[in-house]
Amino acid sequence: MKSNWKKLSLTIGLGTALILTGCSSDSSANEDVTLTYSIWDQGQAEGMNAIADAFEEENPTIQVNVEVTPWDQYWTKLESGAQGESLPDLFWMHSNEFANYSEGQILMDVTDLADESETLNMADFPEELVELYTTENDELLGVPKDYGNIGLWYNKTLFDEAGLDYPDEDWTWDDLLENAEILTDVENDVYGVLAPLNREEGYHNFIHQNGGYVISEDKTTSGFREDETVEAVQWYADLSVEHGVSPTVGQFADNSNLSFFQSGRAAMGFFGSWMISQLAENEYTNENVDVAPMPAGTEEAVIYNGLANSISAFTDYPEEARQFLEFLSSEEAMIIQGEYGSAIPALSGTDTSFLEAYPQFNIQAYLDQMEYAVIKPYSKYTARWEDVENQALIPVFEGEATVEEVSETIITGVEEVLESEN
Amino acid sequence: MEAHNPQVNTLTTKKAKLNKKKNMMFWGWILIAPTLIGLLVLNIFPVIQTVYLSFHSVSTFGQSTFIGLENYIKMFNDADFWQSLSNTLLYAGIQVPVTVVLSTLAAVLLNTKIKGLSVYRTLYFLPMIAAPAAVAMVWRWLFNSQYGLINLMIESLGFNADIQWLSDPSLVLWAVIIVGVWSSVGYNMILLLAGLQEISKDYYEAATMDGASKLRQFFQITLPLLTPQLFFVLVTSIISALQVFDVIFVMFDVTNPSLSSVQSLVYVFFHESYVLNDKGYGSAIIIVLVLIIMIITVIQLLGQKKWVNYD
Repeated sequence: MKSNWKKLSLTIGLGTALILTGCSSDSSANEDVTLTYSIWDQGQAEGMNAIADAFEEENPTIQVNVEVTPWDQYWTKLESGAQGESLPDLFWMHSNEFANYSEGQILMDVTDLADESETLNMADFPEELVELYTTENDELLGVPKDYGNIGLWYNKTLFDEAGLDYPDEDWTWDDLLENAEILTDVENDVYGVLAPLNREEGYHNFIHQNGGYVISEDKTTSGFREDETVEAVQWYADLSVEHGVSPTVGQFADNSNLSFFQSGRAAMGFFGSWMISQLAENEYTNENVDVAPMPAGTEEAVIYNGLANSISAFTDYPEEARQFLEFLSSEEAMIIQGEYGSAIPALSGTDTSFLEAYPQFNIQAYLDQMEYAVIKPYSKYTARWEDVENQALIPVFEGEATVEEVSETIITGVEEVLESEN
Repeated sequence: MEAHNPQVNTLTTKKAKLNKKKNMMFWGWILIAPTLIGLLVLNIFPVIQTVYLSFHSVSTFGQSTFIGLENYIKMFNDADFWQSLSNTLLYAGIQVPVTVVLSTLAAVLLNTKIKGLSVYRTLYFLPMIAAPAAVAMVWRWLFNSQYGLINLMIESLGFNADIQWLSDPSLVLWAVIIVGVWSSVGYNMILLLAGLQEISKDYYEAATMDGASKLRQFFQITLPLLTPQLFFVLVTSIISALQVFDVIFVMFDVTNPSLSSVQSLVYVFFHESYVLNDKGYGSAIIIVLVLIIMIITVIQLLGQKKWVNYD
């Protein structure tokens, strides 16, 4: 009997070995070149494929495969690919991760492409985004693809039922709270506003609207040293903790803010422009909601960010990859991106093409906000100090501490991370 | 000289034997080579590399600087580490016994002659072939405190069903244990079932003749003869329980206030290594887990002489 069990384990071992050795890639030398373009958003796959098709039509010898990997696995996959020098030829880059990739020399320097190209001019892109993807040594490692910021979405039906006016560009924090209080109906499980523990689509906007900041411009100190920052985060957390006009952090563990909004159980919510396609796909939100600019505190502000298209430093087809990058950044591709409703195109003058994709929503609000938009705070180890903030603020959103009480923890933790970057 | 001939003869036969043995060795190595190479490349080498990394501060792409025991010192002062260690041990301490008892029970019941036997066996085995992430996603919906089927069922039985499976710090680990038991009972049951079918019917017939009750037969015949399989199931269950990760990763968001009451060592390892990009610290955490698993497994291997019956 014992030997049977030994046999079993041997079979399993051999089987595994066979399966593993069976996986080998073949790279047949063909005249036609196939480029892989890796992205993380399934919602944008259609638009990106349309761009690839348009490019293939102009360049019949080059094929582009668009490969979607969800965000959670995207970076793990890219990282192990980079270590084995087997990356996709082109891929999306994000501000949180850019520093690692530029330092690791994983991305191709395309400064000369921008200099030589007839169509590509970096001055046509939002300055802060170009700066974001440029290293200290003035190497350009990515061309901005899109930009996105945050809007105040509201449920028209709930506002109509309560006989209230829709939010508009003149709204302030006070308007937000007042209306949210009227719209909240705890008995029927309806909330005035959705204020989850969320940075980019949440309290980071409010920090800037109150004249505070998240990390200083020289990336050495935490904004939680400033009263404006502390005050803003407390105000935001109090929406659920003090006023009860938002679901609590515990309720958000069961249901995301999106599912609250899509089931008509919240009158207002903050959603990034990248969420528009999901709101349009859902039958309920497609008919019942619309978007307005973010409310103003002592000043107007909104967080924005943008992706870039980067080329792998290890690509086998550098020439073809650069050709495709140039095309991705061209007016033609940017307009396709907008018309398919993938994202707001980064190339100046093409962003209005995005309006056509969602005529049912007041998308113009996102475009108008760019006037006073602030770039999403970033440094080399963004994810690390974001984690410090997140951990420290959980008790605040549970109502067990105030922002002032935890600010010392945040300052120490964040500044420790910032210091380790140098 | 002739007198020495027998010695030469034995020498040549010895040589031939040696040659044959060498030949056998050669083919032996060839035959285990696929497994061995796979093991070296995919298991042993990464283990060595992880030990190496745990003494270094590692930047995302390669460059690492030696920092001695700093990662380990940081770890022993990290409340998150201790919390996740206790979560992991508690999880394994409850999930493993429950799984083993339930799978033994299921195996014994499915070893009888009832109608639709293969249907039942298939049903029990199904969780094993489902993707863990999909399983966790479905359970996340089931556990939803407002719309989840579990709370609805409890309510229909007339109890107060306001159970916060996914956010009450004292319940979250139990939610993960339930999913863990559900997904591993089937697999272990199949292993035990195979063992049960190897037990000769003669024992039972003889026992029945002697007037032993079914219950007594179970404890005196079935259990002792099933010990090799039980041992195998126990060892593998403990190892996989200590590595619990995917269910937690899918069911709990990083903003979930009770995440700290449920996160396991592997979860913290993943978070540090891949979310915060601190591979050195992540490696130190996982080395501790490897040591724990190794010690427990060695103890089990030594202890098996006391209770496992081979034959």
